[in-house]
Amino acid sequence: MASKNEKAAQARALAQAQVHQKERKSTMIIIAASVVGLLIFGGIVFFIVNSSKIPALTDAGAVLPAGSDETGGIPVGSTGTVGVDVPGDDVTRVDIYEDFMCPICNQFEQTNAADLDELREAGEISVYYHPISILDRVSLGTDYSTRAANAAATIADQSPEHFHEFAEALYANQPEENTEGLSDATMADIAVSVGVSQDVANSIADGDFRKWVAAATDQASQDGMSGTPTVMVNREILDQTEVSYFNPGTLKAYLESL
Amino acid sequence: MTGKQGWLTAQPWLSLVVRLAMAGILIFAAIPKLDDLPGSVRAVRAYRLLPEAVVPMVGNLLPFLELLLAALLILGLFTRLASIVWLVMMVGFTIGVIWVWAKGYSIDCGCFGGGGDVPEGTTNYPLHLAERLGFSALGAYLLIFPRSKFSLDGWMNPTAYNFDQDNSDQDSVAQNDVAQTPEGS
Repeated sequence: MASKNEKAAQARALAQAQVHQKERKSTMIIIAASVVGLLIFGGIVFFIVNSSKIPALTDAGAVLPAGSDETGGIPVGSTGTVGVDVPGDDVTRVDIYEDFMCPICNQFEQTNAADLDELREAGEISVYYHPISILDRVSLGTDYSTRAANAAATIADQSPEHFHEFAEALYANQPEENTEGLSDATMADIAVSVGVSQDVANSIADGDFRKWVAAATDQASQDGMSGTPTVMVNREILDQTEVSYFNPGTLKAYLESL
Repeated sequence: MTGKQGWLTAQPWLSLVVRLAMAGILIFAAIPKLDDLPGSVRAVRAYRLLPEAVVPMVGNLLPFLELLLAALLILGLFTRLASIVWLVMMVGFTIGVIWVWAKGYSIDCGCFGGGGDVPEGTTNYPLHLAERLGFSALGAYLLIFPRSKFSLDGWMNPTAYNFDQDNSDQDSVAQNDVAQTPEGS
């Protein structure tokens, strides 16, 4: 009887050993497959992140619109031309961060554009416009925010005397959110209508400044911009609860008081 | 059929549902971020919590990490480890929401894409915290009951997943076995 029990015990031990061996084997297979999967996954991540890498504004090799500065601002001088007759540090510097798709930015423009123009033309302030792109997700995949900012940068670079008027015209023709936005061809037509040459207007579609837009947007975010419009006065964010700049005249009065 | 046996039958199915729900939440969170990686970086930055040196890395890698975790949960592979990672993420996000709330920042959490500052009064931090709490409860459940139907863990360690086992003592031993699998420790 004892030997029968022993045999049974042996058989059980053998069966258990086989089961354990199988378990170990499948564990090894799973771990190996997981490691391979992770490596492939990591490679894909690395590739995507790397290929979307944008040279920073201060990097050698970054393509910048002429006249723009290291913050991604496009200064409009007292005569209305980018980079010409821009007052220096002795006057108040105003930075306006806007996305051409953003309805509140349009409202900001309608409320304050004339006041800002007046102060700028009088040489009392310098104004740096930051056409940035944070709303690409609401243009049904056409990246209108990026395309519009690229268009503005193209005009600033190639036809600096028309940049400001062109930007205003984009707001006057602002598309609704969750539409495809204006096509590059429509923006070219708008550019021509404010006096830009047809050649320059056509080059909007080349997208030469799309990377600059991405870099300028990232720089803006690093500088504290986390929504549009953002207004900075002497490079400090103007708090809307302190200066309610959606009330007509409030921003102007505040800037004049400085 | 006692109540305990009923639970033993139901638990792996409930764990399956929880597992797949968590995977779904992760995928919904990851897709808009993948669609706008720079926006994801800005959303992380808007919390004003992490140093700038790591902000781009976190913003870029978070959606990929979410997808990887979702894949593990869908496969039912390393379920206990996955639920631990999930809980660690939830702790991080909860700290983030408490941080911006305490600091009085008015931001969109960016949890499911979007992000950045929003007009005051449109934030709903208590709701976000309740959401985090609910998500954490899912993770805690899966941490305690990682055994689930149709899982690779079960395929890998079938004896611990012998659901037809009537002997409840054996079953509780099996549960311990799962806890001791190398990836769980």
